Amino acid sequence: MNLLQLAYFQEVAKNQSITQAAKVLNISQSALSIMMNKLETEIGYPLFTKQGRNIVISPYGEKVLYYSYILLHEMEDIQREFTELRGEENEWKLNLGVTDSNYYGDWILDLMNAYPKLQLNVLQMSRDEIYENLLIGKLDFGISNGLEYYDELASQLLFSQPYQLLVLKDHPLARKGSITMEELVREPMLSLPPSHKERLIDNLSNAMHFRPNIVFEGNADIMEQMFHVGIGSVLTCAHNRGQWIRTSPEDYALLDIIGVSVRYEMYLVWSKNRYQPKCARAFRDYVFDYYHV
Amino acid sequence: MLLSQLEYFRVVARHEHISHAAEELCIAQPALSATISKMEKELGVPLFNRTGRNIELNDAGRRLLTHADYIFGQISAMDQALAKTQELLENEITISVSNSMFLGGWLHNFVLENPKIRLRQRMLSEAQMVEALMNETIDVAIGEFDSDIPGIVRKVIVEDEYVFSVAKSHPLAQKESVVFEDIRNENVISLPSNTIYKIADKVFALKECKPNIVFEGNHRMMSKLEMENKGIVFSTKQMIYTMYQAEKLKELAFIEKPVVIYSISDLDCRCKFCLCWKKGRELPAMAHKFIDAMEQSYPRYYDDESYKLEYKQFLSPGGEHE
Repeated sequence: MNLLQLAYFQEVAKNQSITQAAKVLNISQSALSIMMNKLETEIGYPLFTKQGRNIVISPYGEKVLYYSYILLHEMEDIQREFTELRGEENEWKLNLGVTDSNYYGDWILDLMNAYPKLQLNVLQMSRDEIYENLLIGKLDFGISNGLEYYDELASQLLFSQPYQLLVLKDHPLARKGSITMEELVREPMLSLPPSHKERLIDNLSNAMHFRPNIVFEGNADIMEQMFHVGIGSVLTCAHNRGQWIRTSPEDYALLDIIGVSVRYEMYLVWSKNRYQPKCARAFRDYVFDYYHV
Repeated sequence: MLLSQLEYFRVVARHEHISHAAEELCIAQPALSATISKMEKELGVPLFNRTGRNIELNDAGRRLLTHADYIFGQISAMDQALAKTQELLENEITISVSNSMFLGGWLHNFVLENPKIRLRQRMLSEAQMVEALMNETIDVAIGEFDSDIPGIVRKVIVEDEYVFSVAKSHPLAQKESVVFEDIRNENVISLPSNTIYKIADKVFALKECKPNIVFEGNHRMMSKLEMENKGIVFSTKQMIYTMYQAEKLKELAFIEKPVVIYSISDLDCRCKFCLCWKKGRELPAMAHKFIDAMEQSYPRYYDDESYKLEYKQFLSPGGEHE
């Protein structure tokens, strides 16, 4: 087994076709075919099964694919670490996975202004996808609402706040400042579409076992418009309310939800096994500073 | 950098001695020295401090060693994961059986003999089974298949017959033999209507009519209702034998069970229980074991000498036509 075989194998797995992968890699189909056969022989298990004209990766192939990412990313890490040992600088490039793309708006712009050479690649994904991609080295950091424990991952709680409901000033409950669970169940609410991986409303309704009265689902921009014409209210927390506020804060009310113990928590997560180059350390320090942790 | 270079480097780092490392790796000492120099050149920093003929791992070397150890640790983790996958795949089997009673005590023994088995069962009609065999979502199917199906291997496991039983206190139980007209309007106790395999329906379909089902329940419930004289229950000779075996295991005197079992003398109730799989397919190892074991050790009611005697004792003489 060698690293080139593994890199080519990743491409074949991605395309599910030797022909297609050969085109991408710009090598001949027969050369790639021979290489994959050799890899299969060396590993000792069938990596593909044929289904008609396509090839499908086998359960063994899935395992090899998983570890191939770990190995190739670890090789990259060696390069990154030794680049710094030589006193040179790595590319300022970071891959960040986030569960909730709405909340970080404020600081991410400041960060990019502070480090203009930083290329930040931000991808929205589910919590499980963040963990998986951190483990195999595809991501440098994850920002995840909620946390599950993995031996190989390190994490830092950024903030923990109660869920709150943001309403307009003329809302019947605005003066009361709070809402009961019974009222919340009936309350017309706005939400991101179900295709969104980690919705606040799902986190809360799953934890509290209720079916929310969602009157509108759409992306954040349309949600914001709907909110301001009084179609429904939005679930948020003190930290995140800024994204919904258009005019002066006095025009809105943030209602406490009575009897809810689950909180909105945000974690920064990274892999313990990966080398963090200078830009990663700078990013981490910046986030920690911002959240005073 | 190559994996093989990292491997050489690990050995050199462990020995901190080129010729010892070369000996372990069975390669020439100058070749090994050249490999290490090449790596140092590529990484741009020395990995060892050299004083005279001695070499000593330095800070950069220790950093590389951490990565190298991690990489080879992950490679052995991959090997383990592959072996584990193989074990799981070899022990996996997906079956579908039209009548789960049919597998009775036999499946239990098969599972005990193959403790690593991962058996999955899918509930399918016989027509769906053929489709599932062809598209390989199940490995083997067990059901009533009376004729050959293209693309499918079919092995007859039991030549069976539909029968029915009735409590001894039921008026029918007085009869020497039973014809279909005797039962056409009888109350029938059956498996629930969502069950795929219902014998009563099959028997009545032979006469192009439907049974008068008054109760539906699982096998245990059916037998309770039967004792309460709520109706008659259809099964097959093999199923009764399977139940008999199960009762025997529990050391209950099946023979004293107050039911009479009848064949229907004017109806051809013979049926064939078959084991099927896809022709030409490379089956998983556990499926081969399953097929072999079923062919060799499935207990047929007509192979059991001791059972035959007991079976006839409570069978109405007129109802038996063997």
